[in-house]
Amino acid sequence: MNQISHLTLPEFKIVTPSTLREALSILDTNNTRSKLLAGGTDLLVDLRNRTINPNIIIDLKNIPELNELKQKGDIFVIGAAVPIADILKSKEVRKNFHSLYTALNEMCDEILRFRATIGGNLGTASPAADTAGPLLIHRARIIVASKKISREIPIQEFFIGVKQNCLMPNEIITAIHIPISTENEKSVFLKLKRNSEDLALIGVSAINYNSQTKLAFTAVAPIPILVDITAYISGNKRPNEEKFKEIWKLVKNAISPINDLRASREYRLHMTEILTRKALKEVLQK
Amino acid sequence: MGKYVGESIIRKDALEKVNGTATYAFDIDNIPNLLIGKFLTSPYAHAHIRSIDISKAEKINGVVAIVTGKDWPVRIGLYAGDRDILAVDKVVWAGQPVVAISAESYEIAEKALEQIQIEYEPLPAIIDPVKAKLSNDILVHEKLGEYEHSPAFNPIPGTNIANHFKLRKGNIEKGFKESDKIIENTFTMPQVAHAYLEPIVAIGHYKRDGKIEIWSSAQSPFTVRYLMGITFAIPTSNVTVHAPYLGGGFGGKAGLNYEPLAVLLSKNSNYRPVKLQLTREENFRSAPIRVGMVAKIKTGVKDNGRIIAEEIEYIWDSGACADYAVNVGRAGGYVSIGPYEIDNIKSDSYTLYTNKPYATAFRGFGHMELHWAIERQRDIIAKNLGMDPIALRKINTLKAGKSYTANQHRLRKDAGNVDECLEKVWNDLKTHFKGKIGDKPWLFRGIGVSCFMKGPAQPPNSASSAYVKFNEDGGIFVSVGTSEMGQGTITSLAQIAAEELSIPIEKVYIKGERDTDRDAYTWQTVGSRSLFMDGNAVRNACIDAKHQIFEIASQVLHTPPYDLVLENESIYPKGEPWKNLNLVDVIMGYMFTSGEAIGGPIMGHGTYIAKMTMLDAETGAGNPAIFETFGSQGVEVEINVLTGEIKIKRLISAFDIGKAINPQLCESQILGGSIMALSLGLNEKLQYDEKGHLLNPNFVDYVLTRADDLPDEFEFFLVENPQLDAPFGARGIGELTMLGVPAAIGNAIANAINVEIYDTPITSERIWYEIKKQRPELLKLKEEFLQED
Amino acid sequence: MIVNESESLIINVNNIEHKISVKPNETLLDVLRLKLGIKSVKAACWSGDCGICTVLIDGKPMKSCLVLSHEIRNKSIMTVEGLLEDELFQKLQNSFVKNGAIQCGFCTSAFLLVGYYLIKNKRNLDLLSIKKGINGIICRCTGYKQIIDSIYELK
Ligand SMILES: Cc1cc2nc3c(=O)[nH]c(=O)nc-3n(C[C@H](O)[C@H](O)[C@H](O)COP(=O)(O)OP(=O)(O)OC[C@H]3O[C@@H](n4cnc5c(N)ncnc54)[C@H](O)[C@@H]3O)c2cc1C
Ligand code: FES
Ligand code: FES
Repeated sequence: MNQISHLTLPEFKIVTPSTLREALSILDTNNTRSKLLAGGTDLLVDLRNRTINPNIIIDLKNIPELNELKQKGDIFVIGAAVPIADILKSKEVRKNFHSLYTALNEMCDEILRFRATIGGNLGTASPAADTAGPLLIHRARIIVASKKISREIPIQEFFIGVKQNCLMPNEIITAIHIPISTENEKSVFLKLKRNSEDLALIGVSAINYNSQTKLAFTAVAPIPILVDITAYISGNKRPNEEKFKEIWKLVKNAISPINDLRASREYRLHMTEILTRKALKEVLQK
Repeated sequence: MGKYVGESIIRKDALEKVNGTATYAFDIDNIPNLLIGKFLTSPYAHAHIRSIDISKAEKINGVVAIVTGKDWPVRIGLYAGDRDILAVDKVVWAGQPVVAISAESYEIAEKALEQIQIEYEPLPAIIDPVKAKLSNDILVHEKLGEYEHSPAFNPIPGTNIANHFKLRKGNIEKGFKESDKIIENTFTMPQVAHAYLEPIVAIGHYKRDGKIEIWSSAQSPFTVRYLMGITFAIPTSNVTVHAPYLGGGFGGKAGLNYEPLAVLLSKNSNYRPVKLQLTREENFRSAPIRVGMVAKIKTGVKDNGRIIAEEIEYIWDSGACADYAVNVGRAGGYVSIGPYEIDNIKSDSYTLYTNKPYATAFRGFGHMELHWAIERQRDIIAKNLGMDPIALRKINTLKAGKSYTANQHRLRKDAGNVDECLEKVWNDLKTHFKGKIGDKPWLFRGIGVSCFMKGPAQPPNSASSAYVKFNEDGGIFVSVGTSEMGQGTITSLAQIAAEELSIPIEKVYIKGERDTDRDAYTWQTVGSRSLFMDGNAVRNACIDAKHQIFEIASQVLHTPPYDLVLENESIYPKGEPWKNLNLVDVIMGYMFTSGEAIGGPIMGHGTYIAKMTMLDAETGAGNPAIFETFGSQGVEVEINVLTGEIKIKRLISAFDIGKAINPQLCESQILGGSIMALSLGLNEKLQYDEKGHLLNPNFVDYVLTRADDLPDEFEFFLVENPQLDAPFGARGIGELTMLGVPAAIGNAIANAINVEIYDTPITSERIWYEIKKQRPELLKLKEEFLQED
Repeated sequence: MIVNESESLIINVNNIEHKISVKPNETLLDVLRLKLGIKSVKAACWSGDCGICTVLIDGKPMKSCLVLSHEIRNKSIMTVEGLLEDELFQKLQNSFVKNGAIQCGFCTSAFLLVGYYLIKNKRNLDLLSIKKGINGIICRCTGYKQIIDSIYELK
């Protein structure tokens, strides 16, 4: 196939359902030939590059269930199609999920954040997805609907490969549920960039709650990685150098950074270590 | 001086631009019967074209013409005819256009391109310019010997050398023998992209009557006109080129780019006009870029800091075609050593062909690259001698009246003063510097400076012209040939006219868009030459108009012309302002009460031609430039040694520009140029795989500085030692604003952490890598980092 | 309702309603520039990176190369052309002119629109929040400082 740089988008039909039912039934009958549209910040780029070639585009933005943003008991619900700019306005998100808030604040740029969504970020399932690390450490559950059944997917099971998630072709993410911790919880998200506006060269998230400590890593493996290091931490205190070496060994075995044009494997490894140190510093006491 | 010269007059194009009405070639789509053009490019960096099958594409409804290289196998180029309009027998870079198409819409054009089949026979490609010089096993141009080229350049057939420029002075062996220390280093800068925002656009209309009309995002419409005449074998006068406002150029639109292809498509499309507009990816792969550089420098120095010998080899990676890169090699060659006087010099500057996108002019024209090398080398020498880097420089800098480049030529007496610039920058940096240790043990601060010089690289017969024409209301229309691509020249030229004719600046009309039929000729809009060359032409045109006005007024006022004064739109005999004549009563011809009329509409004409010499082929001796602007830049940096992250705390510049015609425009150039240089120095690099495929043809991975990356503080100084033959003393500044930034950063890093950087971009990863190599002990601080408060 | 071929769409651009026929694969950028001839909106990357295609949709800045035209049904679009009589916008234009925030001008409309949005919507607008607010737009000419200053002056 000739290498052509396209200015146009391929031909497709578009549908804008206003109920979830309608969306699910259109998706069900056209599942292999359709694509879901939220903010379009990944989708339109892929369409223009012809990496995808759908017949039908289903615009999810008018579906009420996907636009919820609220606390429900001890769970916080983020609708899959809520623009990130709106999520950032939520006081609850800011208060309860510090690492997610930081990640959202570092994602794309302010203009794109009026469009980009978490549903889309998970839909693309890039190894560098900025929301993935925070959602992992915050024990998020992905709420998914299809015409016949709905299910909840624990975030650790959601990613299955580079730009691959475990959704069936007839499924739509409706919301993300995140438990609100009653414990004194501390979390952080750190992103390595080449300048102020960049995709993550690596992302490191950390959380400490209820005497548990977890780390999550993005852009250093085919999928986002969660590492539980509770066993190495005592009394919510920072590890000493010896203990840190053990933690780092564990992390190093779990990740597999690559060499690419954005950074070398060596630098990614080094910076993962430095950012892990930094993350632990911030969530643990001296 | 002056009512208008020296004032921050509001840009002439400001209102059109804030109102969104300024028109760019990108915006033009209202030409009747306009077709869309699009091309298919080579996926190989080097390959023979076996066959091209267009049969399926031809049948698609809405496709008007399909052209291949064989349809018009004329080789084009600025200084050497080494570029096919479309590849003829072989492709020489990945991204080179091979087949082009005109169609009724983008959809159709894109669909048709998908249906074209090209068979290639891949050839081994040469990607590294150093290897391209060492080995002739792979030749980018086997037929180099057959190509026509300008006599100013020396391509060497049977090699990949597009040009070899030599600079010789004194006796290099003797110089090294007498040196106390010899210091050798290699520095590099990669190929980069101009990344102007408006992509390349060319609308071509080959008309039935044999005339050609072009609308192009071109910096040099007159050069485009001239070369189009040659390309299509028609008289220059049959070609009209319109260059509307440019959405940035920076040298990337200085040559002849896609105009020939647009015209060729039009010729084959039943004489319908065709618009070729590149996508960003096409712009990265198929449009010209900036040279890469490898510099090997060997310097001989006395213990007292006097540099007495310097041997240099510059390798300029020109990519697949020579375009401006041969002239970059030449300019880089004669300025080899930077703003210094050294008695013994041997410098060889080679422009090399490789199988990569072709290189053209880029703001700075090789000087940012060479000063990266020279100015890093100066600091390394100072460190070796245990000297202060400013003291070392001042011992060696080029002073007025001293000889530079090769033997014969001496710097003019009214030249700028590089020492003054250096001192200003260094003093400012030192005053604000609070010491090397940052707030945390792993944060280090340092300061660094560099100095530099540059003049316009143009042929000795490069010329400019202008005319001024009075309107009935006393307003004037000023016509010049220079293009407005954001630099603001037209505003400064208007100020010169207002000053010279003493009329209100609001009454000076000057257009941002160019039309080669309407406008006065200028050679090109390059090399920071416009203010000087076109400025002198405008001034001369105004003087000519004034003569015509005085000629008429003298008959009315009964005073000899040389005793008349033109001021505030009236004319009067010297010392007798009450005997005044209104300018408006003269400019369309004067009528006495009797009805007898004299004179006629005033239209002044002025020219200016460069005053330089040819350079000697063996030694480079001669006068290469009409002026040299000197300057200095400095930065304060903060380095995190654990991560390699670098923050620019302060960025200081000083330039001896002779005279700031418009201080705010100077400030804009300084801010814009130094940030562009910061971006180039810290982030930018075109990355290729080993087969020559460009890996980052987009703004995701071709990383540009953004608003949130700016240094904390900016400062600048304008030094004004006027040059007597310049318009109001002013030298050019546009490119100068970039030249010293990367070297100053490199020097500041060495100052902060004693780690030497030899290559750009100076990414965090590179700094970390060099720390690991040169000072691994610093990385130990990571243990302390984990435990600190 | 599934939209197939060209369908006519009523869109409100600069307070004028247009009824135009648009194919599903046309972007808002295409509609504005090619169908409505609104040329203040530029483009340089067609993939969300440069930001110079930014327009205001219901008052919020969005990059029009990444918006399908069918998404803007019942929404109102603002470009520079529609704000020329707006007093605050005029002040911002003057500030750009006075501070030298314009060079080639290819990015200017986008910065004006985002600047206008920031001034109108953000309380306590400081230099950092301006930098973050405009970080999605590239300017290759000015080095941004004069743009930032122009917006800051009107906070
Ligand atoms: C300039 C630029 C900068 C960027 N920077 C970042 C960055 O810093 N960090 C980062 O992580 N990403 C970044 N991205 C990528 C992108 O913006 C994010 O992934 C964003 O979250 C995608 O959201 P969206 O709503 O735009 O998704 P869309 O483009 O609408 O959709 C993306 C994918 O998800 C699917 N999808 C959408 N919604 C659902 C749903 N409810 N259920 C199932 N599938 C769904 C779509 O079919 C599609 O395949 C950047 C993109 C651009 C253009
Ligand atoms: S053209 Fe839309 S962001 Fe660049
Ligand atoms: S002024 Fe040229 S890109 Fe901003």
